[in-house]
Amino acid sequence: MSGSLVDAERVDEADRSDAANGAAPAFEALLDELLAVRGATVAAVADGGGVVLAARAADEAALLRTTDVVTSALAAAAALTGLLEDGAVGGAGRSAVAAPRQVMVNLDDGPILLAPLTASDHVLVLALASEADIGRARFALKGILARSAKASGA
Amino acid sequence: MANLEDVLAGLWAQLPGCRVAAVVGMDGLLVERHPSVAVGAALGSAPGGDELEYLAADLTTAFTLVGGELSKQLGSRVDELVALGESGGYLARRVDANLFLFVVVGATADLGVVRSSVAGVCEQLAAEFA
Repeated sequence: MSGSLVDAERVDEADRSDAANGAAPAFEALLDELLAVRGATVAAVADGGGVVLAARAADEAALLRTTDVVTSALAAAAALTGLLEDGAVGGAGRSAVAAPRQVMVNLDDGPILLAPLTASDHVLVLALASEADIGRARFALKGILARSAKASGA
Repeated sequence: MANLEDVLAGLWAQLPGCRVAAVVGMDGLLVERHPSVAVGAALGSAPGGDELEYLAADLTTAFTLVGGELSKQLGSRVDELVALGESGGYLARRVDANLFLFVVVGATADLGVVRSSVAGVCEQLAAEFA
């Protein structure tokens, strides 16, 4: 992908954990791999609260746009997950649908995929240039997550 | 692992009359195609971006429908769909539980060659994705 790569590690959270500090470098290879997917504009790792721990982007504007919506997107995903786990969809307190393993938020400037990293509360965030990239990105994400889980022994 | 785009480019190049070769998820989303939208438009023979996405979604529906009742009738899974018309045809073949490969060919294509080539590529991809 052309354009300068922008690395970002948000450090405005005063109580950012040591684990997160230590985790950021470990995410570099993962983020590089994600950003290499054709159509990807931003690759990031966020914690469960929506704080972006590490990110890579093709350009800074895309990075800012994505980090701005990650918190809201994760909140929406968490709400949906809660809804499904509570069984509200299935009714009578029984869950008819399993909790989502991936959530997509479709925005005017391109979709964002959110997928939990195995064995942690971290979430992978992948912003895409257009809807036409969703299939390719989902397929790549699946492979990358599987390899990541295998490498971490999860 | 082989690059999916390269695999599709190889298949497209070895099939005379092939307009486009693509891999689609069973959710109906196009994963990869060759030639790309831009190159396809320049060549003038490949379906456009939106056109191919509709086709991919329709083929997924066809696979799902045929794979349901017809699979029961046949007693085994439906792995390949072929649709032929005067000006060409489609061939879609299952790669694994999550993906299928399809090609759009012109009227001059040799169906036997298309079938064997697509089957070979599907086996290769299935082995790599396993």
